[in-house]
Amino acid sequence: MGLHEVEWQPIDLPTRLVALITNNRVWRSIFRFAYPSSDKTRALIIPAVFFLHIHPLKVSARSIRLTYTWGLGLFLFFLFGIETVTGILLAFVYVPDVGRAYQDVETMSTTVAFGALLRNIHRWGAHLMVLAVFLHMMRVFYTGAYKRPREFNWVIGVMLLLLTLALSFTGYLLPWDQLSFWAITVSTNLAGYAPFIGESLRVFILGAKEVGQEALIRFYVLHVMLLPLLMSVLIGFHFWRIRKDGGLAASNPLPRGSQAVRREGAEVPAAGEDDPPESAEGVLPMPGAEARQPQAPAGARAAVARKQTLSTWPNLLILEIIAGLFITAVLVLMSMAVDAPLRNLANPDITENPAKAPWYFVNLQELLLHMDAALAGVWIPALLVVALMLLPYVDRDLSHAGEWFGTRKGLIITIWSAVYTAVWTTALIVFDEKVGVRSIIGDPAIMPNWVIPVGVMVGLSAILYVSILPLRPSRREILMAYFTAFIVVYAQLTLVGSFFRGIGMHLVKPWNLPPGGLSF
Amino acid sequence: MGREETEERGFLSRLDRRSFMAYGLWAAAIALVVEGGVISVQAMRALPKTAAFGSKFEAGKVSDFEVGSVTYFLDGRFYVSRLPGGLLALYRKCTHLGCVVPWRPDEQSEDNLAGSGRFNCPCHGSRFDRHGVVKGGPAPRPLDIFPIEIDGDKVIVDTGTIITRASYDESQLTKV
Repeated sequence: MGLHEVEWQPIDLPTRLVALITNNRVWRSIFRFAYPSSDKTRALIIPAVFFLHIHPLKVSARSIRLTYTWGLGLFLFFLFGIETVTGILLAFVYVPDVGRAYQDVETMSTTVAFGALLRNIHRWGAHLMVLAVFLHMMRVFYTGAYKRPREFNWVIGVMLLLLTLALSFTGYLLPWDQLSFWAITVSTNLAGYAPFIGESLRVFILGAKEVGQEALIRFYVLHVMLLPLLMSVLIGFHFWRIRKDGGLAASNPLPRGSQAVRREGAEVPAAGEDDPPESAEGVLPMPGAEARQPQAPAGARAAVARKQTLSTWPNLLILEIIAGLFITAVLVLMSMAVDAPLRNLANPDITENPAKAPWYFVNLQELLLHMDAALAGVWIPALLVVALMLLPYVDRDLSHAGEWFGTRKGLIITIWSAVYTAVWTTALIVFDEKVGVRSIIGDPAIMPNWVIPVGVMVGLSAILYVSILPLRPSRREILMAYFTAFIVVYAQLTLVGSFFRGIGMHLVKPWNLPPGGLSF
Repeated sequence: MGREETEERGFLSRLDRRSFMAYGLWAAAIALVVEGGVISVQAMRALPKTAAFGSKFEAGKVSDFEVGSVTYFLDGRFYVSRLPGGLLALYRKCTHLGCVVPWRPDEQSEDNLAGSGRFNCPCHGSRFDRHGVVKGGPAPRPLDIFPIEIDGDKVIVDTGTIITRASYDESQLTKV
C-alpha cells in the first residue's frame, strides 16, 4: 500500500512539464511508482524495483562506515562493470588470430576513436581489480567478517579471487606481444609441474605443446565468455549471501558493554522491551537462526542494533554512487596519464631476458628461484588456496566479529608478524642471491630443492607461533599472525620479482632494471 | 549382518513407484552434468598437428653435420647436435619453464668435444652441454629430444614425438 496512492499536484511550470511527461500510461507502465519523497515511500520502493531489490530496507550504520569497508567490495563491483563495458568495445576491433591480433591492438591504440583510452582503462582496471580483491580479502579477514554464518561467503570470495586472477591471466595473452607470449609460456610451464597430470594439463590449457594459435583462441573464449559468465553468477551469489547472512558482519548486534558500544555512544535501552530478536536488516530468520546469531538473545541487544540502522535510500545508495564515480574517475585519470604497454610482436624464437610472469604471479616465479619448481609453482599455491578456504572453519570463536583486529592484542600480533616476516623474507632473498643455498649444500639436489626450503618455512612459522605464545593468542589471533605473514610474503615477493630482478633474474636496483623488466 | 538386511529391506520396501521415479530423475540429472563435463573436456583436447612443428621435419644431409657442431632449425624448433657417435635432435625448449634456449657458440664449453659452445637459458640461467645435459641452474632434466630417422642420406626429425630423459646415454644417439 502507499506507493500507488501518491497524488500528483503540479505547482509551477517545471513541475507541470514533469507531470506532462510522467503522467501518462506509457511512462507509468515503465516506472510504476512516483519518485519517492518520504522515508516511507523510499523504504517501500526498494523491494518493489528490480534494480534496487538486492538492498535491504535499512542498513546498520556501523556497516556502511568508510573506515569499516573502505568501499572495496563496491569498487570491485564497479570495476567488473567497467571491465565488461570496455571489454565489449575492445572486442569489436580485436580478432584472436596470431596473424592479426597484435595489429588489431595497435589499431585500437592509434586509429580507433578513444581506443587508446579504452584499452588503458581495461588494462589498468584489470590490475586494479586484482589489487582490490586482495585488499578486500584483507579487510574481511582483519575485521573477522568471515565468521559464522558468513563462512561460506568467504569461500565464495576465495573463488572470486581465483576467477579474477584467471580473467586477468587469460586477458594477458591477447595483445600477442613479447610480454604476453613469454609471460604465458613461463606461467603455463609452472602448471606443468603439477604431479602426474602436469604435462597433460599444460597441453590442455594451451591446446598444443607450445603457446600458439590454439592457446590464443582458448584464452580469448575463456576471457570473453566462460569466465565473465561464471564471475557474474558468483558475484550474484556473493551478494545474495551477504543479504541472507544478515548484512555485513558489522551489522551484528553488539554484545552488552562492548567497547564499540561505548565508543559509539549507543544507548542500551532499558531491559524489558519485548522485541523479537532480529538482525539489523530484518531478513527472514533462517532455520536455526537463533544459533546462528548468537549475540542477539534478547530485546536489549537487538534494540541496540536497530537503534543504529539507517534507511538504505538515501544513506547506502549515495555511498554506492560515490564509490562508482570515484573508482571511475581514478581509473580514467590513470589511463590518461599512463599508456598500457605494447612491446614487439610475439616472437616464439626469441625469449625476452628477463622473461617474467604477469606481476601477480611474479611472486611464484620469485619463489621458484629458491626451491623446486613443483614446490613453488604448484604445492605452495595449492595449499595456500585450501588454507584460505578452510580459514573460517578453523576460527570458530564469534566474539569481535565485524571489528577491526578484534582486540588491541590482535593489532599488536599483526604488526609483529608483519615486521618479523618482512625482515626474514628480505634476509633469505639476499642470502640466496649473495651466498646461495645451492653453493653450500647442492648435493643431493633434493636438499636445496625441497628439504631446506620446506625446513626454513616450517621453522620460521614455528618460531612465529612460539613468539606470540606469551600473549596467549586466541585462534583468530594465531590465524592473524599467519595470514599477515602470507600477505607480507606475497607482497614482498611481488615487489622483489617486479622491481629488483633483472637479466638472468639476478638482483638489480630498480633504476637499473633492463627495459622490459616490468610485467604490468 | 542382520541389521544391514533389515535396513536394505526397509529401503526397498519404501521404494515405491513415486520415489523410484524421483531417484531416477536425480540420477539422470547428475548423469547429464557428468556427461556434459566429459564432453566439454574431450572436445577441448589438443588436436594433433599436420604441418610444421609437430610433424616430420627434413633437416638436410648427414654429411652437413661436422662432429662437434650444433645446428639450429628455427622452423622445427630443434638443434641437431653432431656427436662422435651419431646425431641428437635437441628440443630448444628449456626443461625448467619453457624458455627458448639459445646456442652460444662463443661461450666456455661444458663438454670435452670442443673448447667453446654451450646452451644458455636466458630465463633462470640453466646451462646445457652438447648432449643437452644440465651443467648448472634450476633445469630438472636434460633437454628433451626428438627421434631421428635416416632415409638414405637424409636426416628426418619427428617433432611430433617429444622424448624426455633423466640423463644422457649412447642409446639416444642415431648412428650415422
